[in-house]
Amino acid sequence: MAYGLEVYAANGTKIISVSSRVSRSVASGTTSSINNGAYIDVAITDLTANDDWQVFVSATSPPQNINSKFQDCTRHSGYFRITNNMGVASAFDYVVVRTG
Amino acid sequence: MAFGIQIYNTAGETVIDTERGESLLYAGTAYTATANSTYPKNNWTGSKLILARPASTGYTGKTISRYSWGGKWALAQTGAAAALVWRELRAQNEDQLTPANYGLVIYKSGGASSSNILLSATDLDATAELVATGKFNSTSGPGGAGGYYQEFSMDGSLDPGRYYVLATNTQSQYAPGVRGSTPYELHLDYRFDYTNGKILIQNYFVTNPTSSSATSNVESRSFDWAIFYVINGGTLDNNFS
Repeated sequence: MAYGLEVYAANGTKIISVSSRVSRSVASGTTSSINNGAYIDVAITDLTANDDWQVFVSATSPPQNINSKFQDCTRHSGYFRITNNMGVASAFDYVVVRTG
Repeated sequence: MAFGIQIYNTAGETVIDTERGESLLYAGTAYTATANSTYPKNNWTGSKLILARPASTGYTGKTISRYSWGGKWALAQTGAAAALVWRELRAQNEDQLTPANYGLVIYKSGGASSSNILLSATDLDATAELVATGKFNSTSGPGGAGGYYQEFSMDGSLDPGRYYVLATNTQSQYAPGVRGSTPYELHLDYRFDYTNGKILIQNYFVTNPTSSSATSNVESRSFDWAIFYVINGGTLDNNFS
């Protein structure tokens, strides 16, 4: 091992290696209710649109029909945007993860 | 950097950075669900992200998703894996850890409280490494009953039972077409193909899915998908090996 971090579990299994792409929790929460056709921006320091970041979003009150995933979540510099196209208002749970 | 520690992996990606203050995400306890009502109703904290995979290679060709009809968690119906293994993706700073008096513990500024833990090595039994990510926006695929998808290839030298998908923001719906209505399926989900060592990340809507007249359309979404590889240490893994 020339550099980096290795972590071994109690039974000797290497569970983090020097090449592991480690995920970290940045933020989580629930938005206020978003009306159909509207969006909310959530500010996250240093957030970018590249794949070093992931934002996982799920509606708290999806409708009981095929529209229940008609939402989008886009990452931008310093914030992400949730757009609600489900046909009904809903809040959204979100978790922001960083892997880079 | 005035104080603290920064660790990078061989690709130059951050592992831990005390200035950023981002706590390590790891894989929680594995549970097996065998029916719609138990995925992941039992043992789920209600807020943590869900990683899931089929319970065995016998479920090849089956989908994994959240079936969020009315906001309820459940397995999707026809065509879904009827048994699966799931874990929470948990942050160490939310687990009220009491680290041992040895080993590596890294805190962010603010003191040595459990909520400031960024990494506690002795409290790690299972890690979840991100191996692929993207958006549900593929336009590739055969169309028709086969739909549209991206392909992820599992490393053939590794245990396929350790590949999990991030299920929290996914969805499948199956409408059988009762009382003369047109049957359809919606896929914003993952399909496991253990025979060919693939995971398909699907995004399509198909009508008459089991007939020769199946017609599918791309359902492009801009939200993220993710595939993780779980490595176990202190507990026996529920894997395929």
